[in-house]
Amino acid sequence: MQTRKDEILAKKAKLAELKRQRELRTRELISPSPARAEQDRQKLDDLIKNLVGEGSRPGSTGPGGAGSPAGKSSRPTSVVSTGELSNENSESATQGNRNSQPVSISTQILSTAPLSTVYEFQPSPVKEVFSYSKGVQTTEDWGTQTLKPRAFSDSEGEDDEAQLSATPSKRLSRREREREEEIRQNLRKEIEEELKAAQSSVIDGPLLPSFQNTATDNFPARALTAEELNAVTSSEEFMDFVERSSKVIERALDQEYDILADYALSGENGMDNEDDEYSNTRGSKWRTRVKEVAQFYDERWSKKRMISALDFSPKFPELVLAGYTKNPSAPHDPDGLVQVWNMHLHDRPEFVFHAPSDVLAAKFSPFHPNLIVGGAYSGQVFLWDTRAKSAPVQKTPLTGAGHSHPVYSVDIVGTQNANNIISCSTDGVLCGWTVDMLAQPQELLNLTSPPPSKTEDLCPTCMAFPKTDPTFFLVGSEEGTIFPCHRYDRAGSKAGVDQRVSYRGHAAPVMSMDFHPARGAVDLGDLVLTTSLDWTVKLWRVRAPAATSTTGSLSTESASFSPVLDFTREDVVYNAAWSPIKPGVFSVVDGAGTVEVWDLTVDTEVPISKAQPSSRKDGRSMMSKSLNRIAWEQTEGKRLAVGGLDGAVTVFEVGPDLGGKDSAKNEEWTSVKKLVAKVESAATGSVNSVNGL
Amino acid sequence: MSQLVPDPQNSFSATIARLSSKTGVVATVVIDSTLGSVIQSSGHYTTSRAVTAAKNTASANTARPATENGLGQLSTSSSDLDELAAIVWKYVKSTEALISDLDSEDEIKLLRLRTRKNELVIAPDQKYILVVVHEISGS
Repeated sequence: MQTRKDEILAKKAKLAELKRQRELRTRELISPSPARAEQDRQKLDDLIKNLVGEGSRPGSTGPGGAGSPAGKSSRPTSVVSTGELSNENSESATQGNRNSQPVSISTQILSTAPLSTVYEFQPSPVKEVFSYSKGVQTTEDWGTQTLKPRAFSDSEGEDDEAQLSATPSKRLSRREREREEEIRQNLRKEIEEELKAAQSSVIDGPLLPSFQNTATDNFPARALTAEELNAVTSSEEFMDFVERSSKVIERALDQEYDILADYALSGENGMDNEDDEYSNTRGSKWRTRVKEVAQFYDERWSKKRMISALDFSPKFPELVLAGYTKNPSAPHDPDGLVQVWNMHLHDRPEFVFHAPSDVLAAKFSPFHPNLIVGGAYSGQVFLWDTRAKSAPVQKTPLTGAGHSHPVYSVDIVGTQNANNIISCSTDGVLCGWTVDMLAQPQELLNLTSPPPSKTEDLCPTCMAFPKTDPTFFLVGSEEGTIFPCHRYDRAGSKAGVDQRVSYRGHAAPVMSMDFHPARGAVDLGDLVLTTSLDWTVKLWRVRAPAATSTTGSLSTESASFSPVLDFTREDVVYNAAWSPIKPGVFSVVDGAGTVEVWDLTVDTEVPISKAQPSSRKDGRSMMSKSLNRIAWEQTEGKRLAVGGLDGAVTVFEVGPDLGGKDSAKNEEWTSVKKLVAKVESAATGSVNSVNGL
Repeated sequence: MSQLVPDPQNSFSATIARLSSKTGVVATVVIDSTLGSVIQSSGHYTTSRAVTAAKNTASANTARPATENGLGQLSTSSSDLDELAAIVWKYVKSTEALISDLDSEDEIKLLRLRTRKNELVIAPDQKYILVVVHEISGS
């Protein structure tokens, strides 16, 4: 800025000098003819006209070459013009000055303001150079840049003085100007390139005085200083890069299959072991084995946390999410945690999500592969997005509308275009939320115990929706009874707990419920598997909501149904899940840390196979063996994830008889149906016979 | 929120530490792709180019285990890794040229270079290049 002011001052001085000289000259012209005033004046006028003619002709062509025609001749008085124009290019300033004297007042109206703007932008690249750290420029560039305009104005000034006679020099200067322009263009381009290179190579901190354009051509350019290293390694961009690229590389390193394997080579490793295993356990046992394939544990995040939720991604079968409770020994870490593990990335989670409170339930949205919903101990419902950072993209308010008790179950029901998040807290409040807006529940339902019970309070421990009906669901209560509920008022019943029907059988809190996925030849969607702390797993057949309303109208007494099948286990049973593929297969995890896989079509008394997750190096004590959650991979039904108190997610693969695509035959579906019908009829038959007696 | 997000320096060095602690990993190098400077390096890898150079400086071949220091370049093996970085950098640049010749709108995502002894996994990015050298186990 200072240099600019100086320049302006210098120009002003020069203009004043020019003006004085011109005045002197005109005085000389006038002074020799004082006597014959009239004629002389005439002569003088002619002369002036001549002069003006002479002056304006080159003037109009001259500036035309420099890109601003005619306008120059209409410059107002010199004082104003210098004041105005000194802000602009020196060339236009002198032009204006040259024509200033003969110009009449009327022409002053013709303002050249819009034209002057054309010139205004021209110095801007030069200005950039000014503001830019001088150290970057080499001295040579710097010199030419600043000298150019100066040289320009000088030649212009000389031009002006010799203007009346010397048009050739004018042309010369124009050519010169063009050349200058060209050089300036080149320089500008060069500088821009340099700037770009400098900006892209140095992120923060001071620019390097010795930086050169050619640095990229010869490696190793130079070692970065500690400061620069610091700046680079703490920049967000660099962190993103490390995050991204290290994930890719770890996946590459974790890839087990060696694509360069040469099977023609005498095989002595790898393949043999597998073969041995196959041949040794050939027969029925191998076909129903449950084999551990991976275990996920992160030293930083999984430590001292318990797994409270597990779910496979419906879109990417290799992704499994795990919800965690808080780590009591790390008060500064977020209480709630959800990690998404990748089957192809063993040592670290693909994504880590945080929550301010223990996560008790978490689930991938079946309608959007990026979204994860979770319920927390604080009563909040969270929504995470795998495209966003670890904090939830949306959460329900801690106070006010919504839950004020822990949310142990969440689900997303509906269709692709119309789905809701449903959450249920232990005070009997059920909320429906839209995925876009978690500030306020879209619907709120208070679940209460039906009349026979002493209190109205109902404490739901779990909730399950049938696969086909988003308006009907079951809740399992702390007392062990399972109640059917409606989200909306129906013909025969009000929204909330269905007063007339209940499923009694469990003597302790119900820990999980799972509707049969029913994707086969026969509809088995009314089968529900429940687990409880009373050491049993029970199979129920749920009456369709429409049917219950008709039976309700027939008998005002509340009907109580008992389970179809009862599987008594050796420990508390925390979770059970149907296989998504095989109609009779389900898996169970219990407090002893055992994973069991059952097949109803084969045996209803004992599990087909059992397994236990391998213990980690730092040891699972007896107390931490218990397994809380189990989840099937949805598309193939071959993999099974379990997790429990020790915070490790273990993935098992089941044999071809227990899972895998198109392994389910049609007769299996009918045999399950038949089995249920048989057991049910036997049960009702016995009841009838008892009644008959 | 600041406490939720770990210190970038720490998480960076933790990432590198985890990478270099994986079985078979010999060396990891992070290179600035415009300048070609080494930002971080760990492990030990001796290039044949460095061996010839090391004949002059005998102290170059003192092996040292991988360091988790995020900033410091190892004093002993840094020259080796600098060599490696230079070679990889040249390789990436020429591959970039190849790709831009094939399709100017395309760009490299990953380079896996298998040799008889090693595999180089190179993840080039806009501004940085991450290189991991690991030994092929088994065959």
